[in-house]
Amino acid sequence: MPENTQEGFIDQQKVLDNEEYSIKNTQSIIQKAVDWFRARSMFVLAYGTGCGAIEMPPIFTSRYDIERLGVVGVATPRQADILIVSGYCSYKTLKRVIRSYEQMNEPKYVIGLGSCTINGGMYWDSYNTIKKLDEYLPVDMYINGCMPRPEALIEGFVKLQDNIRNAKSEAGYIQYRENNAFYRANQEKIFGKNTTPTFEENFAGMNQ
Amino acid sequence: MENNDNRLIKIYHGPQHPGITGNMSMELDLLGETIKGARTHVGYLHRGFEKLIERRTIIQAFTIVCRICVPEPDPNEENFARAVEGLAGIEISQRAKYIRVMVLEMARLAAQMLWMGGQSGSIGLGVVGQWSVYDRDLILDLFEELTGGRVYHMYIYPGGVRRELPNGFLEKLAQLLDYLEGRLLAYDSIFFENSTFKKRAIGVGVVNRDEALKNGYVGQVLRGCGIERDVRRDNPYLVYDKLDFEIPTYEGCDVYSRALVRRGEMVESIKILRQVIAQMPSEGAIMQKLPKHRKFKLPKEDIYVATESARGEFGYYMAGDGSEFIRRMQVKGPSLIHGFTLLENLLVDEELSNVALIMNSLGICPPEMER
Amino acid sequence: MFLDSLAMIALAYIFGFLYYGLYRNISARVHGRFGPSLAQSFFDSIKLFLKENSTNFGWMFYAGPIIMMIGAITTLLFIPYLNGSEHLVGLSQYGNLILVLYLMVLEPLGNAMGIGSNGNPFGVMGITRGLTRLIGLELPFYIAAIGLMIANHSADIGVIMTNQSEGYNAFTHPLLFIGAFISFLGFMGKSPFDVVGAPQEVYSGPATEFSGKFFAIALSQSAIFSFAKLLLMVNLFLGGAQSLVELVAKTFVLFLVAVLVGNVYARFTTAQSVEFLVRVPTGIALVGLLFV
Repeated sequence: MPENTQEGFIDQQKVLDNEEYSIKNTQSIIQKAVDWFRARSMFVLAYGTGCGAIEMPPIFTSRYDIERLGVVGVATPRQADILIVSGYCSYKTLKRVIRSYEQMNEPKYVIGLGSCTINGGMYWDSYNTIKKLDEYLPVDMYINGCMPRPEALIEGFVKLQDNIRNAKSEAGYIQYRENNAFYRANQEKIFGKNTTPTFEENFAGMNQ
Repeated sequence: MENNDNRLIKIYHGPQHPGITGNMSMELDLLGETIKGARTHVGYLHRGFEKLIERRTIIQAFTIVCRICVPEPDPNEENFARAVEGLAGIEISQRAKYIRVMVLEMARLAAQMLWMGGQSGSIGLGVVGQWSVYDRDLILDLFEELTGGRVYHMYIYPGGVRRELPNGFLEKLAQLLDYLEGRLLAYDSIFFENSTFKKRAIGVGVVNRDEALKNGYVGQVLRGCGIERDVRRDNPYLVYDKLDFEIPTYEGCDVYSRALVRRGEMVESIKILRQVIAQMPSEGAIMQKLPKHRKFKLPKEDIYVATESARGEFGYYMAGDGSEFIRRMQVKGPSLIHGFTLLENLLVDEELSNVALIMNSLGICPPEMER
Repeated sequence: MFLDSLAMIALAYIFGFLYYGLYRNISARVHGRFGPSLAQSFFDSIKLFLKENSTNFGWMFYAGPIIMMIGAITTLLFIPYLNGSEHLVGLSQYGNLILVLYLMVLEPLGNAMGIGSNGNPFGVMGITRGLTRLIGLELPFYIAAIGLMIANHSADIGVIMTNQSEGYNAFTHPLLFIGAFISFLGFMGKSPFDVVGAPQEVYSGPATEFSGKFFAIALSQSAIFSFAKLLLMVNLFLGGAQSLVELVAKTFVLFLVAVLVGNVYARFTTAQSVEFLVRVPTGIALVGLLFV
């Protein structure tokens, strides 16, 4: 199929729109119930990596009240389901973000907040920030804007809940597990030998 | 500062921690729960603004300066605009000056509201944060109507301001001020007069008054020590010399005095805004005629400007080199000196529970510390 | 008796989570927002049960929450639900107030056992805070309980409960009630005594390393245990209840007061809360003891 032409694009779109070719919803009834609970209750680890942290208080407080949707903030990564990377990540922060992400228990999801997590945004030519968060962590939901409004944030949460409930997309943590070599290679490009230990290394350290 | 006592336990307070004011961390040496040594770690937010600005023209640099301090971007815009105007020799109209004062005071009010949420949250009094962030949002709504942005406004531009006031804006602002003034009483009873807050805050985080001026502390830290310093009074900019306002000072040097100073500033901001509404000239160009974008060149001079932000003096040093790029821009915020020199010393022999309390009362804003 | 006990646990579980939902809702109203649905806490706990557990700290760590759960359930089983009823009594005829007070300490001890093995400094700090605060909490509560035992010449909760037919102990022994009630606020983990899991200071305190299923157990435990404490307060000071409806009404009033007080006060430091608890409620309860 010629992909780069107008016809090719239309053909591709037809394939995507066709029910027969789309990602099959293969949830069993139990899995459906499980996913419903996972979507209904979300514990958020709001890592204030950048400017996005300033819109966190409004959505958690009385004006926008995201607790209505079952979204609650927690203090430790161990209990969290969702990691919010709020804005640009400097290299030093990225390391902590990855550590926090790896401490979280599955199933876990990442929300990238603001344009900076998508393509660097304002800091496209900065020497100390990463440009695409997706190269280092699997992002489940991007919310663009600088700053994204609280309404946009809430919509992002609702969309993510919909994705989880109806299994619309492959969850990021599965990608992270399966393509771990890709993510680690990208991380090592930045950190060199100071990359966070792998699962095996962690395990070896514990047995000593 | 290095502590090698092996009775001590070393923990990192932050960067991912509910009790920290942003993306920074404190390395604490604890003996039980008493802090024996503290070191501030920064670098989590460094974006290299001062470098980025060197290769941006004025209008490009203008869009990123407001990102330097996230909770209150407007003093940055004002500093940048005033520095460029000073270098290029632009005089702005009286009306634009009044509009700028209005924006700055609204931003100060919003920043104090957000601070109130942080300060009360640091001692587990969540309800104040819930209310005050709502009230701050009402101010942000007005900002949105005026400038199009909630948090980042990009409104104060060299030569004036970018948009005319919407119809009925001043009336809406006056209504909001009445509402906020009423709300302050509610905050008094639940926060400033709360017996548990007093018990936690009085006598905690006491700043040495003799060192305060010598070490270059600014803002509420000075005014909480009874030293009357305020850029708006000492070195008036815009139209602050025509406005009547007081500078609240308290003698306690502790967290509680700083909280009261901030409360007094909220009252003064409301007072200033009322005067601005009354005195606002109805005529006058909001924007001066500027050179074309690529021909907007700064002469080979330098300038230092300062604005009183909600946390103290906020200064910019700017130097031009005859091209359309800014040769050098250096930011001097209040957080750097408070976050290192002051905080590290205040935390020694303090309880772990007071870390968040003291840090919030100093008004430390990490993005501005590291740019 | 087995079915009876099972019904007690089930009721406590349901009421505990319902009250936790109510707590979140009422707090939300105080904050000026709607808050989550009442069943949100159920959803949370079920989701946590469905989460994977990728951490391993050895069996001691996992035994912690289970011991806490056992402590909560045994405490509950020795407190009769209703006044003069044959149902929902559990094991209460075999135990008395002294045993219940003893069992109530099992929770922090189980917690300490779990935390000690994971090595997280914040968990250790949290549990140290918890045990320190416990000293302050136990004193006034024990004094109030001793006062009631002297006044009723019995340590049996059922006897204390039935003896209140003329007037509730809350009114006949007001000082004891006030002392015990302030301590009860602390037992419920509400401000100003919520030093254990203060997020701004020690992350989640003891629960910092708990995740997934074990955090779910800890949540269920705290739901059941807080209902047991409400039940104990109602039985000791508010004359118990003749029916489930009355029980719900009485526990709800106590609960509401605890929530509202918790919402308007800031958190003390550990030292301040112990000092306050040892000075104020203990003093009040001691004076009350003199009147008995």
